[in-house]
Amino acid sequence: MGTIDGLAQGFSIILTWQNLYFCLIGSLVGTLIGVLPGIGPLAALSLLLPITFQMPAVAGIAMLAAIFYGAMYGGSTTAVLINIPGEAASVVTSLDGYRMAQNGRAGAALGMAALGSFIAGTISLVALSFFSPLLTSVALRFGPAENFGIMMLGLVSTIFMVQGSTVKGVQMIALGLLVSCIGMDVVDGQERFTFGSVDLTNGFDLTAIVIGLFGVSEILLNMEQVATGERVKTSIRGLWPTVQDWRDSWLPILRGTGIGFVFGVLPGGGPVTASFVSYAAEKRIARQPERFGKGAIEGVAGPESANNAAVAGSMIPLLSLGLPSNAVTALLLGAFIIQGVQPGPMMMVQRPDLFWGVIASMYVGNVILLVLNLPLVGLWVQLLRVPYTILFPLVLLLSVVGAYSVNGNSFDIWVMIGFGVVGYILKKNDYELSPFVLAVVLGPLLEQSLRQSLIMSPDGAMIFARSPIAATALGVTAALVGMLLVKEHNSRRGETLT
Amino acid sequence: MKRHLLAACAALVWTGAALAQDGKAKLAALKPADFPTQPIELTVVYPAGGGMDYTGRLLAKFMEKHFDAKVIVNNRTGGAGMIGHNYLATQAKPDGYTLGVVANTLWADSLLRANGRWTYKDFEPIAFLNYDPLTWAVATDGPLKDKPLKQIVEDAKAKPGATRVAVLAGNTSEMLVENVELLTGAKFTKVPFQGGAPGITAALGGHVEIGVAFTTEYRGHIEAGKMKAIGVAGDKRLPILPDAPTFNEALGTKEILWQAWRYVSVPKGIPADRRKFLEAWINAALDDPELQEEFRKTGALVDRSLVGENKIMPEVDRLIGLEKAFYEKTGRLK
Amino acid sequence: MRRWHLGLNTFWLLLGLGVVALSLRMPVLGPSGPGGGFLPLILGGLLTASSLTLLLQPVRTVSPDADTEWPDRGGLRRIGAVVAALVAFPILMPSLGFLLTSLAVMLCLLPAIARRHWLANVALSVAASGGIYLVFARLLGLNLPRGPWGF
Repeated sequence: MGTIDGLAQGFSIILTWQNLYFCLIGSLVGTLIGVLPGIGPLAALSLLLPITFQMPAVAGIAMLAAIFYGAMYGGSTTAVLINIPGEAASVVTSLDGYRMAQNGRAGAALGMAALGSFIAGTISLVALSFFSPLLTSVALRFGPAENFGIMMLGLVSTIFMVQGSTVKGVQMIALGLLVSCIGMDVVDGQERFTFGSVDLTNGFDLTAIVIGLFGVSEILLNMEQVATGERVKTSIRGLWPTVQDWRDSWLPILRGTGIGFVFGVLPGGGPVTASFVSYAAEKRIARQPERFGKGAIEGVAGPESANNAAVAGSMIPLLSLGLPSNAVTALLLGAFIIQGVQPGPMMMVQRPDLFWGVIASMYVGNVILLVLNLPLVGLWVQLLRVPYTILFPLVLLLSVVGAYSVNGNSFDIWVMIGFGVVGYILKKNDYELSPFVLAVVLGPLLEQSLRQSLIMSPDGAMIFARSPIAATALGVTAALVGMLLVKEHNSRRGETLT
Repeated sequence: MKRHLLAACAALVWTGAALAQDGKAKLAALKPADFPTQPIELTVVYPAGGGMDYTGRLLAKFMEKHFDAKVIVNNRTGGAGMIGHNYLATQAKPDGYTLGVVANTLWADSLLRANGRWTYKDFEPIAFLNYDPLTWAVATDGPLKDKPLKQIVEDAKAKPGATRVAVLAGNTSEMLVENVELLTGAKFTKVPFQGGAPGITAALGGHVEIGVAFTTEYRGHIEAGKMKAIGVAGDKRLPILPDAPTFNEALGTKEILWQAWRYVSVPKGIPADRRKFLEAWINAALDDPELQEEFRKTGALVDRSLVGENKIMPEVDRLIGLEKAFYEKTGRLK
Repeated sequence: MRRWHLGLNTFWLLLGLGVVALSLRMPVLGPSGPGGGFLPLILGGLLTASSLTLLLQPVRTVSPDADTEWPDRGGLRRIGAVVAALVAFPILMPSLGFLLTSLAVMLCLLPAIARRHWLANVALSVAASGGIYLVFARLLGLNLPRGPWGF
């Protein structure tokens, strides 16, 4: 069956009232949990998974998928409005999005985020529909050595997004990677840095870290001023992106789509990495990189497109190999298996209704989300008029609920508080926290792929030289490090001269 | 003719309903007067979406079908299952409201990681749910595609470390490979992956030669003719893999049994009447052919010959004994 | 920023050295490749080196500002109150349940941070904790800790 026939069948399945209804529910829930700080797509999917047991397969999985990409749409909202990312993939959005809101341009940031997400989502779905088999064979070529190369490249390129001192950025990355080392070693199962604590055997939970570093620390920053009940921040200028915004954003959106899609397809990638790399790339390419971090719309358009494209991209290993590339797609895989369907190479043949139905549902879901989100922009911007003292108890309780619900364990609340206080102190001292988060995400994968490669290889590090992909990626990484060293050296000399 | 069919159908439906009614009545007779008055909580120690989670959720659904009481699933995750096991052993009250949906990983945690804080003896198994043996798989276009298991092991003995196997580190899949090494003198290069599916993908891509996984993790690749199972770490061959021998069959051993063995466990010391009632209730759900079909869909096998305390206890003891002996031989347990 | 700059970097330095010491006790290079101590050792070294770089650099070039601006006494008090409120959750929630804990915490915390009529604070406490409880525990069925009375 050709792609066109398949899509036609898919649309004929999804465009029934019942399936549309579940797609809408998924989009709504996804937007909602994306907006609420703390509750990420993972928590929402695990909550709703049991409900899908009783539902027809297409409806159930379409709903769960909609929650996943809906959360990517919604996640930018609190990042822009109150500097608290709804989930990890929106961390970079807050860098420039929040500045834009402070300049009264929250509407433009949110509108561009929604439109960028829609464009990226749709383009990557087209790629998913037409090139899935090809991309699958590319993904299979990525073994441990290739993964290590790509991850080193991703990690080093984020140093470019740091505003202030490069050395401080390196410190944050080293600390993030160290935090990710806590707990059971991914390679041999030995405990590291746990000091005998059972709670630490799995290390610190990423959700609790993100809520603490961004949510709690932001609350603490807000507490510095007396809460008088006055309205938050400045006036609101313009609800929509301007023509100039479009001119600035269309290329970042396309680049973000490409980056996001590629990182979604690759094992170990996913929305978080994609958004970081997109931001770093935009800042590197920009003619005036100093605008970044001060409200550059490219810094919102690129990453927001990237995280949506990554969702579509991560469906490829899931649907064609049965391989989940992150915790959320692992849950989706569970949903398929409970329905008695094994995602993998035969799914397109055995259950074309489900395969194409789910893909068609994602096209539909993206339209629903755009229609849902654009009018909401106006509403969200009004939220800025709510006094912070009213908003604050809700944000506080949401943080607690979000941290607790990850594992149903109070320990994660302690983690959240700890990282909240640390985040506050670091922010006060001009440290950037986003490279830290990416390092925590990539740490286990980086270490695993490095050690896997060396265990597999009969001749040590030569395994990286033998793989063209790994060799290229590591070569570029080395060049980037060289550039950084030269830059650091020059600025040091410049400063001693003055 | 048509009428007969209809009548037969009606009779079937009626008998089915009657049986269900009958089952409920039997359960009601066993029900203690003061139990249950609040929801029963099934504790699953692994995250939502995994094999243990849907085993627990399916059980909850069918327990509710067979008796009118609320059954909820609570995922107490973290510490690779240790947090939940710890909770069940040391914090859960033995009042019959907290049941653990657990697997043989409980024994490994008890033997290797609990450090004397608790042991598997703090639990009583009350119902056996299902089991799922690990398998070895190779790519059908890979270098091992035509070799039988025995030959692969012989080769790994002749050329130690030349064959790469993807395992889940510190888990049953690594134990399986080590067990084969221990009994045959072969030597594999064990490459750690985060689960069976990534290992299978690595085998497909030619990055390793053998993947260790449950059949659910690569059924699609078997059907597509891309992967093939070469060994089953269970007591007998699997219905969906009639051509794959068991390890014990192929290697002439007895003790290579590495599987997910899932059962319901309660903290020791719950009142006997509650225990009896729970046992009957869970088994009523397990006797439901619909639940058995749901389990089969997820790749797990059902064996209804292990019902009742006097059948499960000895089997659990036997399996723990095998595991313990292996840990002692490999120096993990002193 | 001088004092904090020195303080933080000294802390990172000690942390880096500590990590190096701990990771040397783990297997760094095993027979089949790097062991568990390999990456932490590199990272500890990186952290040590980067903090040393910043410590040895003239402070003037790092930050033109005098010192980190910390909030006044009232600000610190409010921040302390919020942290104390958060700490109350993991302590009280297992026994009191989510709803009662959050209500109690809000009733204590809000007067400490916002000057408002006490009735407004009570209303906001009830609305916030009740609303969150309704949405998450009732509507979404999240397993929040339950107190002795089942909520």
